[in-house]
Amino acid sequence: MLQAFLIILQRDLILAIRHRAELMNPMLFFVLVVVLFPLGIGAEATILERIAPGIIWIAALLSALLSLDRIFRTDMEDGSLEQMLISAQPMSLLILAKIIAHWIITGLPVVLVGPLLALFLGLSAEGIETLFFTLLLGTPVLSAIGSVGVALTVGLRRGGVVLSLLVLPLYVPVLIFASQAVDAAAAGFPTAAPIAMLSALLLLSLSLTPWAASAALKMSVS
Amino acid sequence: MFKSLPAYTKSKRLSVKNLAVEKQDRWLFQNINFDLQPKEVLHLEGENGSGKTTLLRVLCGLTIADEGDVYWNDVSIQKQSYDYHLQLSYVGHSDGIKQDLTVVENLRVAMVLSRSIYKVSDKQILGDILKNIGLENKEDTLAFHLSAGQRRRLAFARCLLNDSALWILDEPLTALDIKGIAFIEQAIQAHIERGGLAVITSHQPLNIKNVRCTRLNLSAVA
Repeated sequence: MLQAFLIILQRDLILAIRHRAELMNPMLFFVLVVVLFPLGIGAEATILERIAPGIIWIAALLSALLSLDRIFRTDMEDGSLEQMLISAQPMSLLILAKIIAHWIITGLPVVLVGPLLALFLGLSAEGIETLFFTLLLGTPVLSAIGSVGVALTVGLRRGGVVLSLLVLPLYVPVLIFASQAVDAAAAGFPTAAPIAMLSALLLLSLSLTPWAASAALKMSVS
Repeated sequence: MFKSLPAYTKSKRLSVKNLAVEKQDRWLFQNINFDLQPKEVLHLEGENGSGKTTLLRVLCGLTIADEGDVYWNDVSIQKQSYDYHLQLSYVGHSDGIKQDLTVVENLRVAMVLSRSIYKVSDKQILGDILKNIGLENKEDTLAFHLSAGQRRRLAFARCLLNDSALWILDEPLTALDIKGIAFIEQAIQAHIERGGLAVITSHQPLNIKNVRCTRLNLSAVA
C-alpha cells in the first residue's frame, strides 16, 4: 500500500517536472497579483502593512483554484483514472498521494515565496512568521478540498465555473482563520486559537476528503 | 514466455443476469444474460454505438447498470470490488498510458496498481515483458513518441503483469500490425489454456484455436 502511495506521488511529480511551463503558471499568477497591489493602491506603508495578509492569502487561494483542475483532468482524459479505479489498491490512498503531489507542486512554492512577498509589503517580523505557518497549514487544505470539487466536476465538459462556485465557499474558513492569525500576530496578540483551528481544518480535510473524492470520482466516471 | 506459466490457481466464473443500461432516455441494451466459465471467451459484437464499450465498463464495475448485476463467482462485484479487481485486467478504449512517462515508468505504475506478481525492481522481468510486446530498446522512450500500435501493445502489457484470471479487452487489435495481432492472439490463447476467462470486443475476427468462443450480438438484443 505504501508502495502504491509512493509511486503515484512520484508519478505526479515527474509529470509536473516534465510540464514545467504549466507548473510556473499558478506561481507566476500568485507573484503578479501580490506585486500589482502596491501599484494599484499606492505605496503607503501603513495601508500595505494592514492589508498584506489578506492580499497574500487571496492570491494563494486564487492561484490554487487555477491549478486544481489538473489533479484529475488529464488522468480522466487518457484513461489512467479508470485504471486507478479498477486497480487492486484503495482509491482513497491514491487520491491522498495525488493531493500531496498537487500541494508540493503548487502549494509549497507559495509557502516559500509568500513570506518573501510579505516582506516587500512591509509586514512586521512577527506577522511574517505567523504568515509562514498559516500558509504551511492552510495550503494543503486548499488542495484537499479542491480534490473533492474536481472529482465532482471532472465528468462535466465545462466544469470550470461550477468548480469555482463549489470550492470557493469552502475555502472561506481557511482565509478567515489565516488572516485573523496574521492580523493578531502583527498587532502583538496571541495567535494560538486561529492556528489551532487551521490545524484542525488540515487534519480534518486530509483525513476525510480522499474518501469523498473517491466516491465522487466513481460517480463522475460512470 | 506463455508456455511456462502454470494454470490459474483460482479460476472463477463471471455471470451476468438481466443486465440493462439506459442512456439518454432509451435502453442501450436490455436483458443481457450470460455465464462465462474458465477457458471460455465471450466475443461481443454489434454495430458502432450498440453499447459494447458500455457493457465492458459495466463488467469492470466502472459503470453501474440500471438493472441487473454482474456476479463474480456468484457474488455481486459491488460487494467484493477488491477481490474482483485483483482478478481483472482491463484494456479500454482510452489506453491509460501517460504520454509524458517513459515506457518503463508506465509499466511500473501499472505493476504497482495491479499488485503485480513480479517485483517492480526486477529488471529481468521488465525486459522480458518489453521484448514480448515488441518494445525492447524503448525502455526510456516517452510514450508520447510511440506509434499508435506501440502504445496499444504497451497498454496490453498490463494483462501480462499480474495473474488476473479475467481479461476484458476493448478492441485489442486496432492499430496493430500483423505481428502484433498474432502476438495478442497467442497471448489470449495461452491465457485461455491456463484456465482464464476473456471478454473481447473486436470488429476483426479473432484467430484463436480450440477455444469455446461464445458470441453475443448487442445489435440483435437492442
